[in-house]
Amino acid sequence: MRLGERAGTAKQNEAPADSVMCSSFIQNMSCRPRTTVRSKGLTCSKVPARLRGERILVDVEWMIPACLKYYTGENLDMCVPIFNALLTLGDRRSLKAYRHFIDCQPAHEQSLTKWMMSVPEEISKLPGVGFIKRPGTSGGSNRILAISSLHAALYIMARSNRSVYIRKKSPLLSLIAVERKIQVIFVNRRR
Amino acid sequence: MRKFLTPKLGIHGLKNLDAVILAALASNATVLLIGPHGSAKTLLAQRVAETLGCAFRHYNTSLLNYDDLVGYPIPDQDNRTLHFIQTPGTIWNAEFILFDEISRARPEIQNKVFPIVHEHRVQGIELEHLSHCWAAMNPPSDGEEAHDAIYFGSWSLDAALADRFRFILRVPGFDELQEKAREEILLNGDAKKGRPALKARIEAVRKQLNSADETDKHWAVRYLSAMIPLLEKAELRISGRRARYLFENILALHAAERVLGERSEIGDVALRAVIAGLPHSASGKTVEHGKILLAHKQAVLDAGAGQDSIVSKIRRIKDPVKRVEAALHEKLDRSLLTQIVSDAFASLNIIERYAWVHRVFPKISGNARFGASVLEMLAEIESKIHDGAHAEFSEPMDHSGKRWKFWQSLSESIARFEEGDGIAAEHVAVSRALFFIEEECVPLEKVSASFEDIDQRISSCA
Repeated sequence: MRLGERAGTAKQNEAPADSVMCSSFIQNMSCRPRTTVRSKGLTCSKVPARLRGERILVDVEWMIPACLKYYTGENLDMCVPIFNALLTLGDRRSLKAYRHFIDCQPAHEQSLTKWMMSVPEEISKLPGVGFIKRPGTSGGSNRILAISSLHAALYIMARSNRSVYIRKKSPLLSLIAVERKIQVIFVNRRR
Repeated sequence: MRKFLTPKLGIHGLKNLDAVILAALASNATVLLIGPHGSAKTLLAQRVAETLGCAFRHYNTSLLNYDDLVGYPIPDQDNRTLHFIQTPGTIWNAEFILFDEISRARPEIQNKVFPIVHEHRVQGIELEHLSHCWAAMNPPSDGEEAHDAIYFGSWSLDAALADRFRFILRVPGFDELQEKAREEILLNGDAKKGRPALKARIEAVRKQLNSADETDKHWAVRYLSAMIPLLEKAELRISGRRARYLFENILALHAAERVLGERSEIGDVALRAVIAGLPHSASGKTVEHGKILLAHKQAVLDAGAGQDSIVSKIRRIKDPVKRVEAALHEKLDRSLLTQIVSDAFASLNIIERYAWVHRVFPKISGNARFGASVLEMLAEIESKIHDGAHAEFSEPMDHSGKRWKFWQSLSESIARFEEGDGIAAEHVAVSRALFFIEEECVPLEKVSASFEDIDQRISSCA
């Protein structure tokens, strides 16, 4: 029985021990009894397949070659030229080659937009709509697949706002960021 | 060459009403003039009656007694029947009546005016000579538009009485007129500029009406069949009588515009006829011209496509959920599909919206004919339902609050679901999403009822 929802897990003034929140002060000042309600998700096995979905992790940080890692960390605002260089030159070139390309190529945005307009094969197998969650958010099936190609990862990232990924949308380069990690849940079946 | 009526009657700034006035006179239609004080409403009726040579009665309805209309009743010598002593003001021989200030009349007088306007009868006795029955009023002070109302005694008309007037004309005030018309008024006042051949023109319109083109009639029917549901969607309810009036108005106005030398398309005439034929402003309801224009554009397209076309058939479906289902089965273009889905989305309340999106999302997300904006709109809701099933929520609650009490019952429902008590997971997911994300306290039973209702509406379409 899931009455723990009410009795066990709902603890009086519950908050992480190491955090001090404004609401805690207000709660302590108030004479009225307050409870922090914590509600877990529904048991996955009892949820129909349509609500479970398939989770895919989009994380581009590990796709950046070792030689570019330091440069990328120091130039987070240069992600458009960096990704354009990686997509155009591949991931096996030297730092010198990448930096030369980044500095000398005049139109990184147009070039990356062109890349974003072409559909990678990995994407064409996925449904056209997905829900965006922060990585680490529980729920859905336990399987998490990682996107393997940088092109596909950027393709999804450029079409994902805070809550949904829509393949049909025009890409937005401003949504692409090195440190942006997203989890996309596709509830419809793979093609 | 374009001919004018009102300037020759000595009334300036109302040229754009010439064709409607001629159409109303030719079809002996009832007319309601709505305008600010001093906008020549009464003068217009007087001058028209004078030009036509009609026996004219001008009743100030706010001061009217019933005896003023019918005369004073006296029994005959045998005390068997009543006769009315007539005065020069009684209604019996009137050919043209103006009920002025009708919006200021007492309700019982308005009720007595009712059959005169509609049936041309008093106490069941036909007014044989009466041809033209007009009324005039200031804009109502209790209407939706009356933000700076200055007419405190002018109340909106009963919707049924307003519906009896075939043409409802908005007469502009002096400040709304163009510079040239204002100059004319200041220079010439209401001096007449000749005598318009009004009778001849009325005859010409009647002749045109008798020989009206069948193609125009069929077009008007198709147009109104498409237009009326769209007007109702814009919250402008159209009665059966009004629908017939609008049809007659289109034909009469088309004929009148031709007689006055205007070469306009029937589509444009139809828009003017609809605007001049909606009674809602008299009963205090806002008539948004932008909405009418949008509906008109759509209705013209549908009328061109034909009444039996798929588009027209789909548009005639009143229930937005059923309309989407029907549209999904047809090969409609992207913009139309987008419009139909967006309309349905906007028309549903939040609980129905969640239930409907959950049902329709799989069909739409895999459909290549939907634009990204629609997909995004629906996906946002579906994503929240997914969160409702899986996400962990944490919220401090006050024990005496409504949310806490509601949480007690919702958590019991969730516990029953976990025990396998026959509660559907999607209903629980929607309830949790509504509670934690939308902050709405909606009982699980209400969510289940909404799902049931949406399922029924969808399946009835299959």
